[in-house]
Order: sequence, then structure tokens, then C-alpha cells
Amino acid sequence: MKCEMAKDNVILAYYGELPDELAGSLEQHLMTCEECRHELEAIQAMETPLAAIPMVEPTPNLLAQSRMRLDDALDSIPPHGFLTRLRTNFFAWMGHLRSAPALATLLVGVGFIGGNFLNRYEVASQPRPRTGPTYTNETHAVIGNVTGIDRTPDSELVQVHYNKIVPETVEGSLDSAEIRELLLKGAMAPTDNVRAESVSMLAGECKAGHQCPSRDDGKGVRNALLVALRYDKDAGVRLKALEGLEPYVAQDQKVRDAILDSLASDPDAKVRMATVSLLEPVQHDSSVRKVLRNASTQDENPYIRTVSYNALQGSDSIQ
Amino acid sequence: MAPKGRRPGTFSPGWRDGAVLRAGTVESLPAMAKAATQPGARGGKLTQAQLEARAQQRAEDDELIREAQKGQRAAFDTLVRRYDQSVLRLALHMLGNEQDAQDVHQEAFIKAYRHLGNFRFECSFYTWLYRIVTNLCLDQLRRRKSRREDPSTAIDSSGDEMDLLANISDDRAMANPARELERKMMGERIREALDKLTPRERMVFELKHYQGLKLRTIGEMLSTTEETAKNTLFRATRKLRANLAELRGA
Ligand SMILES: [Zn+2]
Repeated sequence: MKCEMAKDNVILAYYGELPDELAGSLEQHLMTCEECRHELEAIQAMETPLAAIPMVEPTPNLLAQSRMRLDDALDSIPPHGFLTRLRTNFFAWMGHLRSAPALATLLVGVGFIGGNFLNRYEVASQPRPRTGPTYTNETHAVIGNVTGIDRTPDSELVQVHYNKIVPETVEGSLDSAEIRELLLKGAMAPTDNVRAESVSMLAGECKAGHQCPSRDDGKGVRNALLVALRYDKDAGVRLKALEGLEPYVAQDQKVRDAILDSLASDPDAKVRMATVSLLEPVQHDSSVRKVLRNASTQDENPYIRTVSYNALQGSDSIQ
Repeated sequence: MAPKGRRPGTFSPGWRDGAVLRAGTVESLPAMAKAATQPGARGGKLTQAQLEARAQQRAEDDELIREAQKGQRAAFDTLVRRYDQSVLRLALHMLGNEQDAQDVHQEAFIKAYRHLGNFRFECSFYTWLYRIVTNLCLDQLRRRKSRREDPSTAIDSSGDEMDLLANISDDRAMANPARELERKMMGERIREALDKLTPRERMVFELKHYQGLKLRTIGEMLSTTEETAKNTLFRATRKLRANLAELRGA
């Protein structure tokens, strides 16, 4: 997906109008494209200021007044039908009340009465929903919080979105698809320990050579480790990811690139340090040599400068 | 059709809450990418019961229109009572002014009444009515633009200057006047940013962001295609984003 299209799609996704078949490729694009992620953040950031002018219901007073005005105007249009007398009288009475100066200050109160009257009228004439509530994804569990409410206009139907707290436990082999899926989710969990544990297990699987292929769709275990190495805020998690990626340094360009990026810019010295020894099998690669050279002169940590320098010497002697 | 205003913020459903808003830190990045692409976040899918209620409402509307077309005022009045609150709400939010909103309310229903004979049941009464309303609002906005009227000062029906946000009285406001003032000033500046859109962009944005309507419906209401509505939404969103960034910079 090209950026221009992705940016349009970000807006559609924000407004819940992105077709399902485009959601996957947008997700992938966002994983890899910082610019488009910024676009998404910028759109999301608009939410708060825009909420400064919220939708407000017209006051009962304004509504009653508008209805009276409209009724008068409709009455003056000649050839159409008949009015129910009661309603005419009611509004005529309201009209007099409104125009009487002494009672002008009571208008708000009258508006309320009018509003209530009209509301009752509306309620009485509403279509009745015939069925009980319908659930999507119903599970028997405790309701955590209500996240949104949609009302159908002029009817009694509402749609309530809520989260349920469903604590569940699954036990199974590391090789089972369900457990792996959960571990992949765990690798993105907000809790540091959960991420560390998940990434560590996934890395172990990769090291053992169990179903850790490189995939073009941005999914799978190896990809999760790449994401963890590049983006996880916890240095321990990044180190674990690095371990799992070790077997693929030689054959997978994406892995190599991620490791080089870590050597060049990871904020944690231990992580940078670990990358140097990992790069040993590919030390003769020119892009690797370039990064090692930079590290050997520019890294703020003297030990890393030394190790990088030694690594370069080593690769020189091989050639 | 859901003209009910969504109130973005506290009660907004789905992915805009929680983790996504904390996206400043890198670890939530994949979650964010995922969240952005979850379908139906805003204006989500309707339940079967809602769909049924709408179909029933449409059938009832059609029946009322037939009666009104035969000259029964009572039938037309029922239609008015069904929709006029939504009409007033939209006009009020679009125009930020009770007087103008009331004018649009009256003019729209009179137009609908006069032209009811032309109604061909090709779309719902609601869509047809909103087409009239949006046109009236657009006219009003265009007139304002050409007059370069200051939109942030509005006069209400009693002749006093109306505070556009006075309707939202809440207890917290009393408890924290400084914060309330800040919120009001923010509201004014947002209105200014919105007013920099063309009337049409403003309308599409209004119908999508605040009224939560589907782009397809918006296209129908504005007598154009969904594609055009979509492109207008893109333009409006980007412009608004730039205008809001300007506000922050100022
Ligand atoms: Zn991009």
C-alpha cells in the first residue's frame, strides 16, 4: 500500500469506514511506515479539541418555540387538510402566553411544560421495538465498563458497547497454534513482565528452530521478535528478542538490518554490546563493517568501541 | 439513519480509548497499527433489532407521507414531530446560533410540506428532509462567508448575546471556573478553525464527525456520490488538522 492511499485509509479507519479487505494491508503499512503512523496520531489528536464543541440537545424551550412557529406558518399555507382542534388550541394558548409581556419571564417554564407534553406525545407515537435485546459476542462474564452508547433517533432502541472482564486460562504446548497466538499477543501486552515472558518464550522457539520462518505478511514469531527488538521500551525484552533472532543473522536481511540499527542506535549499552558478537558471522558484509566502524569510533561506551574495533580487525584478518 | 450526535471523548467506543491514546510510547505501536484498522470503530455495525426498527420506521414514514400527500395535515405533523428535534440539533451545531437554527427548522419543514407531492419514495423521508436541511445550512454558511460575519458572537431569540456553550451547564463547571473558561475559549477557537473550511467541507465533516452518519448516506443527502463525500471528508480532515495545529502554535 502506498503512503498516499494509506493516509486516506487512516481517515476511513478512524471513522469506521475502512472496508475489511483493506484493513490488513493498512495495518501492515502502519507497522512499517512512521509517517503514516504520525498521520494516525494526528487524526486521533484532533479528538480532544473537537470535543470542545460537543453536540447539545436543543433546549425544550427552543424546541417548543420552533414547533409553535412552524405550526403557525403551516396553518397559513391554505389548501391543505384539517388540523386536530385540540392541538391548534393548545398551541394557540401557548402562543398567547408567549406574547403576554407579563408572562414573558415564565417562558422557560412554559417551554419545559411544552417540551414534556411533546415528549410524551412522541413516546406514545413511537414504534415499539418488538424483540428483546440482541447480543453480539455474548459471553457469561462480568461487565467491565461501558465504552459507548448509540441511540437510534426517535425510537427506544439503544446500542451499548461494553467490555467484559473474562479471565480465562489456557494450557497447552508451545507448538500449538492457540498458545502461540496468545504469546504473540503477550509480546505486545502493556505489562513489562508479560512482554518479557512472551518474547523470551518465542525467542526460545526460534532458537530451537520451531516454526519461526520469515513471513512476508508481517506476522509470525520472527516478525514479533523484530518488532520487539526495534520498538520495545524495555531493554531486557529487546535482549531476549535479540537472542531469538541470532540464528537468522546470516540468511535473513531483515534480521541483519534490525540488528545493525540496534548497534547504531539502541539506547541501552548492553543491547548494543550484544549485537556486536551476534554480527560475527557477517562481519565481512560491507554494511556491517560500516556500522561497526562507526561504533568503534563513535559509541559513547568505550568497551563497545573496543569490541567493535576488535571485530573489524578480526574480519580484516579473515579477508 | 443515525442523526444522534456522537459525543466524541468520554463515551466514544472502541479503539480510540485506552492503549491507543497512550501511543506516545513505542511499545504500543503494533497495537496502534492494529487498532487503526479494526473495522467499524466509529459508526459501528447495527444490531438486527436496530435494523428491524429502522425498516419499520421507514414503512411508517412512507405511510404517513402517503396520507400527507392526500392532504392530511395530522400525518405531516407526525412526521415533523419525529424528526424536528434532529433537524434543530444539526442546524444548531452547524450554525452555532439559535435564531438561525430556528429559521432553518421552519424553512425546511415548510419546503418539505410544499414539495411533498414530489416525494417519490426513492430514498427515506429522513434523507430527503436532511437534503433540504443541509442545503439551507449551506446557504446560510455561504451567506455568512460572503458577509464575513463574526460567527463567534451570536444573538439568541431574546436578543441577548448568546453564549454558544452556555447550554452545557454541568456541576463541574461551577466547581472549576478557570477550567471552564479555558474550555470555552478552546471551543471558540475550534469554531474558528471549522469556519475556515468551505461550507461543503464543513457540512461533510459535521455529518461524519458529529452526527456519525455513513459516507454513503452523506453522499445521498448532499445529492452527490459516496466517492465525492469521501474525498471531501479527506480534504476537510486535513485542513482542520492544519488549522488546529496553527491554534496550538499560536
Ligand atoms: Zn506510509
